[in-house]
Amino acid sequence: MVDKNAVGLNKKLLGENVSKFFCLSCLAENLGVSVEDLIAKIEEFKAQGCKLFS
Amino acid sequence: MKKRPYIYADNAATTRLAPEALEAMMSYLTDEYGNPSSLYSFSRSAKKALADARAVIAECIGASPEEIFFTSGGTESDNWAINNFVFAEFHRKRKILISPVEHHAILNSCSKVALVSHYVIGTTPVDKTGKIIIPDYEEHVSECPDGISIMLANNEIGTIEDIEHLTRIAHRYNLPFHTDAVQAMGHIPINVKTLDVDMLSASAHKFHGPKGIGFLYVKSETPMGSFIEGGQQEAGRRAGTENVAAIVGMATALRLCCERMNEVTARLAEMTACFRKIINTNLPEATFNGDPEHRLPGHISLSIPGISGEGLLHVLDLQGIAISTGAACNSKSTEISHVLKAIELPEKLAKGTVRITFGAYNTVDQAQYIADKIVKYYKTAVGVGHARS
Repeated sequence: MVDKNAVGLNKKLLGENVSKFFCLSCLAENLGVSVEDLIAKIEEFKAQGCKLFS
Repeated sequence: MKKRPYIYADNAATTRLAPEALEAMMSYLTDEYGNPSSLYSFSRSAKKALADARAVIAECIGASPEEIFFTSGGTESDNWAINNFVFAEFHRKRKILISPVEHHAILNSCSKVALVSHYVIGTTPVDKTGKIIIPDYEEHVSECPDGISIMLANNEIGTIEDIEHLTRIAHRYNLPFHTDAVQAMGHIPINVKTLDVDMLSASAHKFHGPKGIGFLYVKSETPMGSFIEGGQQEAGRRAGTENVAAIVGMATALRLCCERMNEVTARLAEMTACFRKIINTNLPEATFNGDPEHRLPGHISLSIPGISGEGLLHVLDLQGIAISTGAACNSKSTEISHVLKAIELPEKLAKGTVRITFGAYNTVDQAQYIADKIVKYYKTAVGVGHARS
């Protein structure tokens, strides 16, 4: 399931023109990080007021 | 598997405090807390520490102790220098000449001077490596502005300016010259007499000293106004009780940097060579910004077409690596830095620009690790159709 936050994170980390979206677990695997790390990043971007996230 | 320790490769932003500097500071934070301006014997050691630190710093840059004024850091030093052009009214043209790649401490200080004191701010252009274009500079200088401020080394792209050449031209017209040496101090040899600058700014946390302390060098006999009003500290020009511990830490850090400069520079050259080799082999489209020869040791400004520099920064952060970017996203758009704009870097490259700055505490192994991670990131970005657009 690729929700709004996962789409936002794909755009934020891989570039705004990204044409394919990873779900959080695939994104984590591709980047060699944990899903928990990605969720923490999402929260960080939300706190900064980034409108890509809900 | 044991997690790899965080790799700090953003030494242009700030540096780790040298343990020797911390050790030198400790007694002034604990037992020897006397105010150096006080008259009793308890303050004697603080007063002596202040004088010794001033002498050490002066020696490191070829100045006299009375030409060193302690400040809260590079920004204050830059602001003071710009204000001094206004105070002294050197040539009464009400004009200051700067370059478009200066730090915001200079740019915003000049904007205020323009607004409040109705000064005109002239900008002398740079070429694609960030170096001042001499014929244009000569033309601007011939108009005799009140003062000139050109940075010694650029924080974003690492280019070192030929300050000696620039001051020679300025002094033909008897114009005062300030250089922002914040990024260069402690990393390349600096002698104020050789450079022949009238003022020079530095900040301790850029050379393994503590944050919140810096200095402004002012050549003797240069007309000089006070910057902060109050007591008689800093020859009555910068009031406020001195931060003795930080000043001692700054002097210790600068002395160490000067003593170890050759050894550290050689190690940084190995790190950058290793990093560049991996990038050149795997990402032939990538380019390195700034002057290829006259540049800060360990400083890399890398542009990878088609990728998001900010995205790369965040991914490396997730992987335990700290670097910087040349273009950052705000709520509406991606803002490209004024330096990358000034060197006319195409937007596609500017958006994919990152800054990796190695320091004395980095290793070749770390340089290799970071380069490998960047290559892997690029391949992932290509995989989702973002890069190579």
